[in-house]
Amino acid sequence: MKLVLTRRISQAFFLLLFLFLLVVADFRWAGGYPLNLFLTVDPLLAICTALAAHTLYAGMILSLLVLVPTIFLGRFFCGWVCPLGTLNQMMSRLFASHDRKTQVEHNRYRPIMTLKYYILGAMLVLAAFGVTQVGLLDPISLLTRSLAAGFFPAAAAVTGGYGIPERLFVAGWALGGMLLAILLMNAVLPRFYCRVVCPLGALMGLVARLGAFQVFRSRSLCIQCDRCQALCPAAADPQMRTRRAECYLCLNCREVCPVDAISLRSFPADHESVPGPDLTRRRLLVTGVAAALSVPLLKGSVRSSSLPPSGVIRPPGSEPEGDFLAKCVKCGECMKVCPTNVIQPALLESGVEGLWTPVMVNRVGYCDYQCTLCGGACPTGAIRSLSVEEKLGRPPFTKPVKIGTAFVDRTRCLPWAMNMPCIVCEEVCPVSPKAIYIERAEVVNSAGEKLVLQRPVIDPARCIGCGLCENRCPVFDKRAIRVTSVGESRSERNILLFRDAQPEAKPSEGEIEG
Amino acid sequence: MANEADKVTHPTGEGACTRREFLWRAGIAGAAAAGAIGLGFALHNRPTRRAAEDLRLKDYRVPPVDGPKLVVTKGDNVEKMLRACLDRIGGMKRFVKAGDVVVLKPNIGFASPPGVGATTNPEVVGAMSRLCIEAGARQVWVTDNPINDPQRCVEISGIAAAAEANGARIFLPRQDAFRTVLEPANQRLARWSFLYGPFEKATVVIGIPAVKHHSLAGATLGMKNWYGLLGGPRNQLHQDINTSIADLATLVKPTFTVLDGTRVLFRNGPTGGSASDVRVERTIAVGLDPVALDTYGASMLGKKPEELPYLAEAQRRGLGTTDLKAAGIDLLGGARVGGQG
Repeated sequence: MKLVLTRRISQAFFLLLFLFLLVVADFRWAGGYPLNLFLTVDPLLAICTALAAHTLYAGMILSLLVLVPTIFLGRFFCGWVCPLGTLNQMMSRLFASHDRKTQVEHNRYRPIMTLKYYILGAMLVLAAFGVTQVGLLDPISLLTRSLAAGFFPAAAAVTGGYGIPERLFVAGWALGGMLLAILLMNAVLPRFYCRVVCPLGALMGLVARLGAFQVFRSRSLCIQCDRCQALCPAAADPQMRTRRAECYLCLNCREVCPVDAISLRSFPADHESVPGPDLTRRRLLVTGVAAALSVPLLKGSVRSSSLPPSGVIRPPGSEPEGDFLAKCVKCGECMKVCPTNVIQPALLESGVEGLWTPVMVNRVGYCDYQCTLCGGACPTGAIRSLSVEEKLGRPPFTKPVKIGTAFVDRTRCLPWAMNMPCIVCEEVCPVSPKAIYIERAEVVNSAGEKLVLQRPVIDPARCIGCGLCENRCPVFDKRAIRVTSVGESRSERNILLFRDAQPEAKPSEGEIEG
Repeated sequence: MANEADKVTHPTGEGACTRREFLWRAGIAGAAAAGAIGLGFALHNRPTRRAAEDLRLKDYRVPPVDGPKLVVTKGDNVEKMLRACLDRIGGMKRFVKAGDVVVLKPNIGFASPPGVGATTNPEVVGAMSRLCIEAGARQVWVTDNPINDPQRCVEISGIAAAAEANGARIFLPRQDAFRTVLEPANQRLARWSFLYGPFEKATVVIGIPAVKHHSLAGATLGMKNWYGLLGGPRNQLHQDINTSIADLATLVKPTFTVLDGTRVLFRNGPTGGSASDVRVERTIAVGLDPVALDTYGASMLGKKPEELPYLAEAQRRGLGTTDLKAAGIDLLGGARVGGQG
């Protein structure tokens, strides 16, 4: 009895902790909190990014704290910790039938529940070939992203923004809609996503084979009353041979059994339980081959890593595009924490593999000069954590981090195209000396009056691509000054200026200097 | 052909409802009909946009007396400097009385640390807050609608800490705090979105601008400081900047203005970004004549009034004079006209 209560308290605690960390992921309150805690300890994200990028970033080694206990205890994470699991369970209770026969039918194991293992397999194979897409379906990443870019902005829109920062995200409805769909699927089958889709659950399921503690049903005591079957959220068949790979250790069965036939037992015999999922070799092969072959298809296309698109401006501190795509799990933490709302989820600008990765949209916001929050929030190091000194090129650093270059559109700029004064862009440029300087011109305007106009000219060597100019340009629909990615520090190819291109060349041995 | 059922219900009374039922059902039907008709007429041709309200800003100036309109001093103790200047024009008690609600408008335009010189020195804001409270103000608001994010600006500039430590409160811009304000005497800003929230109950308004270079206007000083109270597409003002700045000074008539010349951003303004763009001047000026005050501020940047066309426009409108002698300037503590250069 006590254990189920403890489990519920644990679920509530971790859900509230998750929500708290997401709410404080705001530039006003973020200081000191481990914002991306759940993402950091997620073993699936750790394994996939390690496969794709050949490195395990910083705190992600803490995912061992989840993985190792799972090896011994089973899928306790699903039953006691996972915030999306808790939400799914709450929704399932809301939609639950009260008729035992229907409940039993809903909670019976179905072969479709092996789908999540094939999804996991596909994700792992893709990651092994350097393509990280696991973040789309990983529960922690999905929940973070859907709340940050979908639900929280929705709450702000409804409440008029009191206390909740007003944020807008491109296609935020799709990001939030994905979570909504998942929550509503609990009306079709309880914990539908957990049972059928979740690749993290699948990973836990595979790893739980060794399971020290497992739910064990005594055949002699069991009266086949179906009470446990009716309440099992994992469809783990406690009244039959319990499926160790599915069981969440929620212990509903143990609590509800009228004859106390179910207990927690260490190392139950294999013939009393089903250790692993029913995966056919054939289906695994199909999954693996499909995933493996799709990678060359991807590599045979134009990719943002080989041909940088001008519209894809990544946050400051981002790794070169190939590494970036290998590490980014599309969690949306950077989008949540950005004070100006400039970081937006990409659609197809950086290719299909870049869906929902962060890009800067200067019409919405701009990169605040002194701010380095995005790198601090990123759990995988796709965006490196920069110090302010490194970002601005202050000692001991010699050059600032550039994320792009601004270009004046002389066909739209008021002083260039229309003989009208302006130079808001020059005014707001934050670097010193400014990256926009003034050229004077004597013109005659439409009223026949002589004017001395100040016209903006960019110095690309000084411009860091922050986008404040574009953001403030009064030509509201299509700004007369726009930042594109060229000149970004992180790329060796996507550069504009000659003298910035080459690192200091060192002559190899035997070569004559000079 | 008559229906059998009709013969049955009518004459013998079969199938009729009870009187109570009748009253109830007739009542509901009547209410539904009345509701539908009422709602229909209430919504009929209802205008979808509300007409603009006639909101005007008050004139916050105090009655003029003889004496200097501009007092300048140099020193290191900001509070002492402020007191010295104010004492020459009647003391704080001439301007702030017990129970007043004061709005302080410094320059908090950018999320830059104080040393960058892009924002008002937080010490000056703190000292002014303290002086207002001392004079009996019941509420002191410090406000601005900055270029960068407001929360970051008030924190990084140090102004939030200074204000709150001295009894003032920060009024951050919110969408519902903006109202359309009318000023028929204006050309460009006759009708514009304004951060009206803190002005709702204000009885005293004090500007506390910084002294900064500005490519378009020449300099950004006291008159242009009111730009920070505008909402809407204010990035259009640059298309007619001199008229717009004169319009700002017509729109907002403060009780007095404190020019923060402790640090001067003499190039790469209004954002700056390097310590080498800033010169320490240790100067504070208090002015009742906004044109004279800006003329003095311009001199600190090495500029003559002719170089700032907005000053001439403001003078033409009778807002003040660029002739510092005519305005009556009092120079204390070694202050001079013109910066150290």
